[in-house]
Amino acid sequence: MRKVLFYVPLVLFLGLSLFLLSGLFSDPRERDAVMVGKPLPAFSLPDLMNPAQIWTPDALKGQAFLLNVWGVWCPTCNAELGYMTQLRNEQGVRIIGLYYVLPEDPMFGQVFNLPVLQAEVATKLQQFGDPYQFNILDQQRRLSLDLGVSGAPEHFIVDAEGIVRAHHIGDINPQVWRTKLAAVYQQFAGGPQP
Amino acid sequence: MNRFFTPFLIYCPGSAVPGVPGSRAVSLTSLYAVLFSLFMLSQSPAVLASETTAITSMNVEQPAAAVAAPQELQQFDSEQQRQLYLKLTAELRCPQCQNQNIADSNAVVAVDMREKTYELVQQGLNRNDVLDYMIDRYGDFVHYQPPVNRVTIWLWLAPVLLLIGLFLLQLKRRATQMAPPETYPHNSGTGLTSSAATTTSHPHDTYPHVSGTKEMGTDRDEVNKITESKIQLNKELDQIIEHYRSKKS
Repeated sequence: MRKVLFYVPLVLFLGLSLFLLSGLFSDPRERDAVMVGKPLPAFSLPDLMNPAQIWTPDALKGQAFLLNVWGVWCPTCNAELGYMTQLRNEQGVRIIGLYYVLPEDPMFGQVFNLPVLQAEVATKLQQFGDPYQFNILDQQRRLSLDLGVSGAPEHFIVDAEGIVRAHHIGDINPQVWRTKLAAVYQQFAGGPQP
Repeated sequence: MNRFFTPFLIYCPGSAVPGVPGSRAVSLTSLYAVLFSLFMLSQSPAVLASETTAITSMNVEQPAAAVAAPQELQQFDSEQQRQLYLKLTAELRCPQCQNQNIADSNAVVAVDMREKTYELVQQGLNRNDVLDYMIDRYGDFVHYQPPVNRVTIWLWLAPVLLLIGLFLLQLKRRATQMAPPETYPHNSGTGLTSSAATTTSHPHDTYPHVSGTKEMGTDRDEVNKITESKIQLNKELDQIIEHYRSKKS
């Protein structure tokens, strides 16, 4: 009995150490994916480049796609454009952008200016690559709020029926794509595309 | 933007300029600068001057940190709604600037959530409705009070169980400590003999242990010596204890 008791502190210490060690490898930004399994929330938003075109969840159905929440103001989003363009060209991944507009500050005389934004976006896409089929303009960030977006970049994999199948907070790089998203995308897009 | 830095970036406009590319790295860079200079300070006093100028120049580079967002003034129909709004923004957690509530945080998402909360409160929703609305979108994470379920119940149970466990352990200890006095009364009057009695009854744990090492030990004489000195020490200890006890009573 005494011998057993002798090892109790050691076991407790090792247990605590392992628990804390596992904490070193956890991602503090990771949250429960509440959107997964739910259909896209209702929305009716204009196309970024062609505002006459209005997108609704029904208009997106028919083929699985990767929804990428991004903005030109976000360096990480710009950095991942290249790899996503590669995904589009080499694996035929259908990528739709959800453009996350930062709130303007009237104190600095900022007002929302669509032509200026379009020009900025065009420059960025020319510079880093254009992975998008099209971009949805979420000026009030209402859709982003309904999707549980906390910032940019974030990614959703949506299947052909408009059901969210994965939610990834952070950028897409080769490792994230391989380990986390590729399998889900291919499952719902019907295998790797030529 | 350096690729190396990107995973560590968390966009918190309270300390950076929204809309200016690269500005979100400023606060982080200045943090590194401060840490680095602290490190250098501890190394040599000669670097002090150059490092402090580095810090001040970093501060000059981010004037926007001093410019606070204009205070939002919100009109409420009733004092009750105002209180509800204040309560909700205090207990909802910002998903971007973690460990800040949405009232404190100036991240874009926190501003949006504040606006949404205001809108919902104005619509006459009660506290639970608003919380459900946010939890539907951002998960349990977004509320500072975790829900009670099969995983989180241990948050409440663990301390209670620990207390009960410690209490039981203490009870058991008491029981074993109280046991020896039953053998004592026979010897209590005789001073020296009692100390001998305690040595035989007490070091229950040392003897088997020592004999065990004796068999396995490489140098028996050495072990014997240690054992004897231990016994001697125990005896002396018992004498001291006995002395103390007799004084007390």
